[in-house]
Amino acid sequence: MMEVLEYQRVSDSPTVKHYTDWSAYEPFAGTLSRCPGDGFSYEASGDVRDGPRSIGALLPADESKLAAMHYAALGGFRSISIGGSASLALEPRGIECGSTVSRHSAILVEPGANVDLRITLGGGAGKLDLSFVELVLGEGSTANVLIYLGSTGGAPSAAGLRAALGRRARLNYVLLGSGGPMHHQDDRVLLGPSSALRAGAFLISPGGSRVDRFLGVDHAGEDSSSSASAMGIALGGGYSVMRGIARIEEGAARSRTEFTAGVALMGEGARGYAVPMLEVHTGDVLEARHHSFEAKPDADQLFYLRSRGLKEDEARDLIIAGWAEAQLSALEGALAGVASGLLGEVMRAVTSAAPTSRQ
Amino acid sequence: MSREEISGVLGYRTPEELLGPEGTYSRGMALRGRIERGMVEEISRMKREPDWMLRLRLRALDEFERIPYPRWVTGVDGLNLEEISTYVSPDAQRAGSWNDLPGDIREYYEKLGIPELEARFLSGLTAVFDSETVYSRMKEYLESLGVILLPMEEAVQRYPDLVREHFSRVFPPSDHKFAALHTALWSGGAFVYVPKGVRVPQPIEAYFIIGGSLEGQFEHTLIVADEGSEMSFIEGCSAPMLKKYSFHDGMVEIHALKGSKVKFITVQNWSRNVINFNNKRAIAEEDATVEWVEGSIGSRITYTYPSTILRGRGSRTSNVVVGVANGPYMKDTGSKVVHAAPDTRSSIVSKSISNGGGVNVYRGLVRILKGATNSVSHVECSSLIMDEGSKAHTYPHVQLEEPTASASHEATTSRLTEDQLFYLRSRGLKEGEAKSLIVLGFLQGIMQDLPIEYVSVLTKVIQVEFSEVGGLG
Repeated sequence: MMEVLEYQRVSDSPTVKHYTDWSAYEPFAGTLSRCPGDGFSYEASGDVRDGPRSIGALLPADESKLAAMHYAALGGFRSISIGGSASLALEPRGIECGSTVSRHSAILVEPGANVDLRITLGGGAGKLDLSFVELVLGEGSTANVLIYLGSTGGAPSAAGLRAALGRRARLNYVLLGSGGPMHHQDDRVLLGPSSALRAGAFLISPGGSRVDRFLGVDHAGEDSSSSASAMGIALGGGYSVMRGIARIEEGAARSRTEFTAGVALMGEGARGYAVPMLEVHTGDVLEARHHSFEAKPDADQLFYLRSRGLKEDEARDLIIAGWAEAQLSALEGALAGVASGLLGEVMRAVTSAAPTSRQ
Repeated sequence: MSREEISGVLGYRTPEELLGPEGTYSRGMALRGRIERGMVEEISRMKREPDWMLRLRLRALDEFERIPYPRWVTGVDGLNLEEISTYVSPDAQRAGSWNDLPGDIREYYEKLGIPELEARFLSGLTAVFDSETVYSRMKEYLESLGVILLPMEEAVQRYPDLVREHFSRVFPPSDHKFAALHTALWSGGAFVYVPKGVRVPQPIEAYFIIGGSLEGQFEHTLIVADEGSEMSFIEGCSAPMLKKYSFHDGMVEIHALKGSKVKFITVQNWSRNVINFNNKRAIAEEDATVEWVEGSIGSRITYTYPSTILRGRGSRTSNVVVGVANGPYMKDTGSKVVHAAPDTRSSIVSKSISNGGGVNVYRGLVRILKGATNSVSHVECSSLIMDEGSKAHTYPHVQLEEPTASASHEATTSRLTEDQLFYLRSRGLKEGEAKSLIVLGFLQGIMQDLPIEYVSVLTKVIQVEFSEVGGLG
């Protein structure tokens, strides 16, 4: 299947053929081997059980060449059911053999249940890192999901959250972290009737790195709503792509969507691309809007902070941290605090790339 | 001509209805069949072109054969390039007076009020029928100022160096398959040159008519605005009610030199059986300004994305795009800007209306290259959906490579609500009248960019589109 599938079926734009540098993955395609294990370690509290033994409904193997590579290298997976109230943390577990680490988890949140789900990605130690999580939210359930992108050890990586929301389900999702040489993040959310999504993302692309984040939001049920935003910071020589599509299907009457993508270029050679797309297939839409922007530390804000004694870099970092906090606000409860704690790790990439006035 | 008189020309009918069913008129020759070297050489031979133009056409043909069909193009499954006539000459000599045109061809333009428009409102006019320019005239005093308005073929003969310097340099055939096809087969169109410092006070217009089914029209418009000059150009297009489809693949190239200002307005009102591809691009040099106003009302399907490359420091562009998809038709429109120099500015405003199962697509690109310091871009897209079966999609790309530049994009899709309709109907308006009033209110902000005469025409067209008896959708 890998030989006939393409990484991407339609090119992205007339001027940038692909926002992801697919050639970074190609050297690994011929050396895939299946190693035992699902690649995650689990820490759970509350009502957490083994779930149905099937995966792939939200990430079909024939979706793309990358999906096929993921399954070809996958040595196992874990399926989990969550009832009542629970919290679950998935940490990457090292896999000794092969040149690729493939991780997969399938999580079912039963009707009416609530879960805080924290997923850490990375730690591939120089191996191609492919990590995907399928998440199904039953009727009336709620999930707070935080995905943290850690270091990939200098190798390319790809990851994705695939979520399907049942009637009146709610998903609050934040993606936070910094990218390696090439990180492709492909998140998709399918919204059922009266379900709701709130999503934020804050991703740093340090010098020499490239992050392509895509979020697909598909309103399939009536009265569904989504509010998604993403902020990418490209540091000197970094490459940040924040893109996505919000689609309101024909049957999703009275739905609303709001989609915002922003990029900030901090230093020479930084590149940023914002592509928030909108497809409205019904006239019975409450509201559909999107917005993209290029962010800069506001001169008035900088002046205000400097007049209170902060150095220019410190003031700038504070403003950037403010942008990040706005993205984290999609989360509720205890995970919001966890995300704030991790933000310090992420901001270190910014401060270490800052000019000399800090010395 | 007063606004009332121009409105009276259209009455309560669309241009398609005014022109009526496609009729018989005297045709000269037509070329049809496989698009290959022999066909291209035959077009070039008929036009007695210099070698460089034939070589350009053949290079474009190679590109056409090499480049695959764009995968994102949908809705043109019925297009069969081998069954259409890629060149059709009407049986008419090019005229400098309407009276010298054969009556059956003159009648098309008279029904649309073009001769009156020319007399009262325009600096010059070029009329293209099928594949050839049948009429071209410019006010005499402009000639004495050195302004050139000629059919494209004649310009190739009379001003080969000037044409060669700019032709296909703004929009190369290698850009995409339909640009290559156009360059290989181009016929008809206008060449305009405005000398240094000359201001053309009234617009120049080109009006294109496709007279019959299964025809291809590939007209080429090239505008060169020399340093410090100023001009505006209006492009109009119509066709009668066609029994089968026809295909339009035109191109507009604008080179705005230092400090010049060019405004290009399109009022596209093809009939419902025309598949319309348009290739429009400008290069703006230092301190030059290019304004595009694109009104897409007719056609079965339209693909058009007026583009500007801001190549000179301080150059500017504004693009206003209006798409009306009324009935089971599609408008795939948008705009592109490349900021390639410091201190450049761009503004894109897109308004689309989808009604009766119509689909509007906005595709946009703003690219700010490294080195385009302190450049600024802003894009606004608004879509109005009039009923449940209609659709609107927006695909904007903002690509930033310069940290000191700024760019933003905003888009909103909203629907016509029952409350709005009820309010207007309770004041005695019929449903069609209420809808056209809402649409005109939605477009109000951009009407100011159009000449007053065309505001009147556009208003009438929209009233007809949404009236209960008018409109062909």
